[in-house]
Amino acid sequence: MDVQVKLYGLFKKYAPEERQEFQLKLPPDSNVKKLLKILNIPFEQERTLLVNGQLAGLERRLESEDIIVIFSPMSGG
Amino acid sequence: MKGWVGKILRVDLTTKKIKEEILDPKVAKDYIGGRGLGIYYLNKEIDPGTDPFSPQNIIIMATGPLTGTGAPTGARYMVMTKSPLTGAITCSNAGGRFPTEMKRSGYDAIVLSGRAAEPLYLYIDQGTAQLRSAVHLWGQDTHATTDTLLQETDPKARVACIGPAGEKLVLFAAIMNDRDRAAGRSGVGAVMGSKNLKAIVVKGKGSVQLADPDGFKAFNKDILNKYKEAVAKTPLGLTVNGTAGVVVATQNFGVLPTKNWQLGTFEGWQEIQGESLSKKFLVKNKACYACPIACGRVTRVTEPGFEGEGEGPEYETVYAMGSNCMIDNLAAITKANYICNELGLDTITMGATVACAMELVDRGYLSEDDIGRPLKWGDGEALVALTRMTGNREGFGDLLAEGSYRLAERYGHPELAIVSKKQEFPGYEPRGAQAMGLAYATSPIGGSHMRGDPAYFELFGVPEFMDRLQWKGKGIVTKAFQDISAIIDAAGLCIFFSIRNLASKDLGVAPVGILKYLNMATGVNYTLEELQKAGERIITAERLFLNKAGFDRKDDSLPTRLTEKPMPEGPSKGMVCHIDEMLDEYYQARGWTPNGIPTPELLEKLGLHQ
Repeated sequence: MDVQVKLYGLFKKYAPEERQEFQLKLPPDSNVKKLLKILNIPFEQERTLLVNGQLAGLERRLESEDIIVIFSPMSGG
Repeated sequence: MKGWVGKILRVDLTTKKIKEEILDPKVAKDYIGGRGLGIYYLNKEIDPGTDPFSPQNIIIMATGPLTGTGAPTGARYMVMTKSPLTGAITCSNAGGRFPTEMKRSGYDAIVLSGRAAEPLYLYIDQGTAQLRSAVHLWGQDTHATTDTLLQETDPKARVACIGPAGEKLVLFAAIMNDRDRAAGRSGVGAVMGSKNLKAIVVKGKGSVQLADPDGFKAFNKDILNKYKEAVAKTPLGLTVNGTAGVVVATQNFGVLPTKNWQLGTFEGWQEIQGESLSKKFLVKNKACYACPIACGRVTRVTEPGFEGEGEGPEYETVYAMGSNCMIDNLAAITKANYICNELGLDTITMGATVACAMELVDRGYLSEDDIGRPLKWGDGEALVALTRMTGNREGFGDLLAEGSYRLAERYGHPELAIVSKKQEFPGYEPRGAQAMGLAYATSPIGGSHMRGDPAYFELFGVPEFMDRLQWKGKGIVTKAFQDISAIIDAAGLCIFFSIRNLASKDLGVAPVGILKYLNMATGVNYTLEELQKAGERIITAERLFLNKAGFDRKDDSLPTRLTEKPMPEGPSKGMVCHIDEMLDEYYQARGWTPNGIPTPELLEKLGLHQ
């Protein structure tokens, strides 16, 4: 299945060819953990990870056409 | 006293009389300082019905017991008065170097009253205060004023002043210190202008006395080491890209206010986010006194038509002048920010008022002939031109100078002003961050994130994430965040460091680290309960002022666009903000009646019964 991945800030370095936004083919029944493994993103790396605009944890199952966004935790105003 | 200087300076501008007063130790303990001292004096000394521009209004500029102590981010002061924009109180807060210098000049707070017959400035040189003529400075911008005053007094002094916007009573004029730091919101600069006070110059000596200097030093080292370890592992976004880095989060959560709050995502967001600012215009980071974060941005723009140098923009400016106006030209946004700094304007209300005017034109309620120029969504040149006209009250700028509510009302559509208590919102959309809606509605200054910022829970996951779309349970956590904000504001600290590093790691955000700093600085030995009670006392004392000025539940409101119209697109699609449900829970958590009035039992508990 195909999902769309968007990596920002410090996470850009994990993108193939350092492209911020790209399509990725995942095996069926993949979850967030599987996606991080494929992209070589360490689990312990502090992050904000969204699936379709909502926060998601490692076990969240992914579906075709999901949009996954990962960026560094931030704060401010 | 330790931590506090123990002295207040009173300046009557009508009679030009200046006198010193002792800070009552009980008042200091009960109200801490900063915001707490501000509301203590406002309640004691002015009628909440007072006309904000009358000589009867007073301005309190107050540092906190941790200002200037070397505690991380202990750099801040609070400016409190009755606001001409909202009719409620102001709580305009700034860092930089001025607040520390003001405290070292000999005073915890300055209370300004009356109205001078001609323009004056106040010079405090190591405990000696005098009023001097400012006739030659009237009409000058904040940078020129600062430069002249440093020449006239002492190059090592620090200056807080108003620009032409404050002199001309623009309802959202700021007081600028250290050139580009702003006590920005609610028109504090206009109140200063109404008093014919152009500037305050301070020169200090020595350092703040601490009750337990050795303990303070050891604890400070420990806190800073922990901070350094954490940021070595994951660099802090605030340091890397400034507050404008937050655009990445708000865009992707669908809470980046766009097109005067009609949308929650902005197509041009990549152009205006912090990373673009760093790449295009950043000269260097700038830190306030004793701040390890350095979120300030010194920037330079060379693009034709927008050339300039200064500080900014912050996230709030980027939202208000950028996505909210559909402007993706970061050079134009930055230039408009510079003009705000120089003329002395609040960038949030300025940007939001232009966005409101753009929608009035778009819907055919306001003609471009009235404005005297085209005003379409996305027009960066118009933003720059109108900002300058507003600061000088020229042409149509004279109407923009009244803020978005009065503008939209004048053209028959007050519902298009996105305000609470007539003050424009910061850049977090309540339909996709429910508690932020409650924070805007219940803030004592009207739309604001800094008197309670539950976006930390909903969008940043600090100290932990809370479902941003859920409204149940938000009354309780919003109260907790507001209470610690009152303590941070009173102590003289900055929220950016304090929430991550000086609060308990749960949604109760108890001020555990602030407690230690305060006790070692002052020797007062607060218990955690006493300190938390002081936070509640400050907020309830503010509420008493608001109640007497006529505010109650009806004013703790949000525009119908956010409560009745579901978000049309993006990750917050379909949501409205459930303000009524949250208000019930919030009032109950506070011990206020369902109409938003503190109960006699609560007043008794907090020692506020009259």
